[in-house]
Amino acid sequence: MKFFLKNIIPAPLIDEDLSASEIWGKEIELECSQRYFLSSGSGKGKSTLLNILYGLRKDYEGIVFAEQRKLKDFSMDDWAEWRSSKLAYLPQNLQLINHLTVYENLVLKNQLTDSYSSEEIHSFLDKLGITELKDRMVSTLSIGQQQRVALIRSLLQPFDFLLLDEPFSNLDEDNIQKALDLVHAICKQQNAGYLIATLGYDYGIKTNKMLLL
Amino acid sequence: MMLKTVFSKSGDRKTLVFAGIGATIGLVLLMIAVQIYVDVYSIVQDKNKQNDYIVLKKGISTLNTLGLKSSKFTPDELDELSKQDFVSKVAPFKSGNGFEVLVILSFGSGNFPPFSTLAFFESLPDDFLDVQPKEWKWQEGNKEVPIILPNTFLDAYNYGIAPSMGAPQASKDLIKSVRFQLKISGDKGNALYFGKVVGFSDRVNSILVPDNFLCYLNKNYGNGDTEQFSRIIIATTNKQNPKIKTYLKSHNYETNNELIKENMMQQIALGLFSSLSFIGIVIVFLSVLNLLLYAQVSIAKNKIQIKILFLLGYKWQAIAKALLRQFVWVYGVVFLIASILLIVLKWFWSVWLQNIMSIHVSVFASIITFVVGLAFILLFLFLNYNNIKVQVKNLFEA
Repeated sequence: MKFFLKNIIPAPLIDEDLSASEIWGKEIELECSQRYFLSSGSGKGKSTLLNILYGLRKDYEGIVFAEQRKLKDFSMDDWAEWRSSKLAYLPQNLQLINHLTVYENLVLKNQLTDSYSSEEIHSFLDKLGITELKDRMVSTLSIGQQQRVALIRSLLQPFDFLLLDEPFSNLDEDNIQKALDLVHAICKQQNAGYLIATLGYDYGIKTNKMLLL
Repeated sequence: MMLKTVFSKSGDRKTLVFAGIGATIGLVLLMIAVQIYVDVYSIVQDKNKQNDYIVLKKGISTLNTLGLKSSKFTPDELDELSKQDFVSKVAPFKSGNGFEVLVILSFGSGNFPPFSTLAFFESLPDDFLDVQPKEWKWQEGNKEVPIILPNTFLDAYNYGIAPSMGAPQASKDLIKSVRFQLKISGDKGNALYFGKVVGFSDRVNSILVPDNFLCYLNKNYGNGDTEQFSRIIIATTNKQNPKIKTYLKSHNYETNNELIKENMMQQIALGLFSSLSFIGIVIVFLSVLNLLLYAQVSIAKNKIQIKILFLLGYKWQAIAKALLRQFVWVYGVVFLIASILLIVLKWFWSVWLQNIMSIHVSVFASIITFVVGLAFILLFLFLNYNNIKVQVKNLFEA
């Protein structure tokens, strides 16, 4: 699977100078089996791009193709299908349901496709060091803890491409490494790639392609 | 199901309960209205299956008193009447002609006073009678004559004569067990018979004897059978046919006012049905509107959760069904309570009809009523689902 972006300019950036961008206003292909870093400073449209690829925004000029289909032509049912079986996403604002527990938030995602057993989900919690939080309401967790919950949730489905929007912004180095290990393990298992939006960090991974926005 | 947990933690339960109570009251009124309609319809249908009988007579005026006008029906008038499309059959009341009947009732002992009175006999073809006792036959040579009395006679005795004379009241069985003398006196001779009451009629307000007995008396003691009759009885398949009233009025024929009474009853039932239906529909739709608003508020309150569900890959249908589920049980409970109330009220209604109005209807509520109630519930669920669908889809686009 691949995305093809043709002269995309999002509405909020229409009056900006985008000549330095490798994506906005250019033609670019994203191979879903590859690993990318999307790097820029704040306000350059990292979240916007991820939201466009995930079908959450349609206010842009140009065309985005996925498997030869225009994203703007996708129906509600198409998006439901893609979001549960082809594209995984960790939004920057996490989008957890605050009045549910950690485990309930994870089951809510997992029950869509029944991708992982309860034991496997517990092992993911264990790898990120939040097993003891599983019965806590999400609203009572720190942002860093919530970020780890949201990361696990984004992995609980089959996918070809994983979109992560500043996923480690509130984690220390040790936890970033644990999270990256989990992401790599699952992506390898699923034969999938990812696109991580960062503020310029490469987390010591030099092999990934860096896209400048 | 995790989706239920996502939504159940928000929404104002009080609104839901009050809307549910309103919907129950409205639905009960609607179902009662339908049940009344079904009952009235079944009563009218039952009546229509049989012939209705109407006794006709001519209005008496001063001209009749002065002998300038006859109150008798002529054969031509009978013939014309029988040709009317609302008449299925017609028969005259045959009466005694040219002889006197004296009834003598003597118990010999007991509290009943001795009693004698002049009387008259009439007869009708048997198929016009509402009672057909097995003793209802007479052959030449029989000294015992079966008689059918109107119920109103017995009532007049029990509630008028007996209390005023200090005499005991008499049951139907007692009257039937009594033999009394019938002294017939005419120009051609006298005869003595014994009368025995064999039945009581609601339909015919006259003292009836078998037709062949009356013909025998007319022939042997009176002036023979007459061709003119002062009262006639008609059978009709629809007593409510407006042509009857018009025809009777144009010919100055009179009848009892039962017709008008029945019309009034039907009008009252129809009025009751219309007002209950109207009130029921208004209440039930206000409640359903309340539930629709509740759904909108509920969706607005769950807006963030619904958007997260879209983000996770849930289909709008799954989200709408989960939201609708809370209304399915509300409507389920509403229908259950309304049905129980209807069953109880229907029982009281049928007992009341039986005891007060002497009208028999089933004590069980009609299946039609439940089907109508269920149809309304399904309609409300459909409206709710559509409302939720639109709201949820709008959130996806937002």
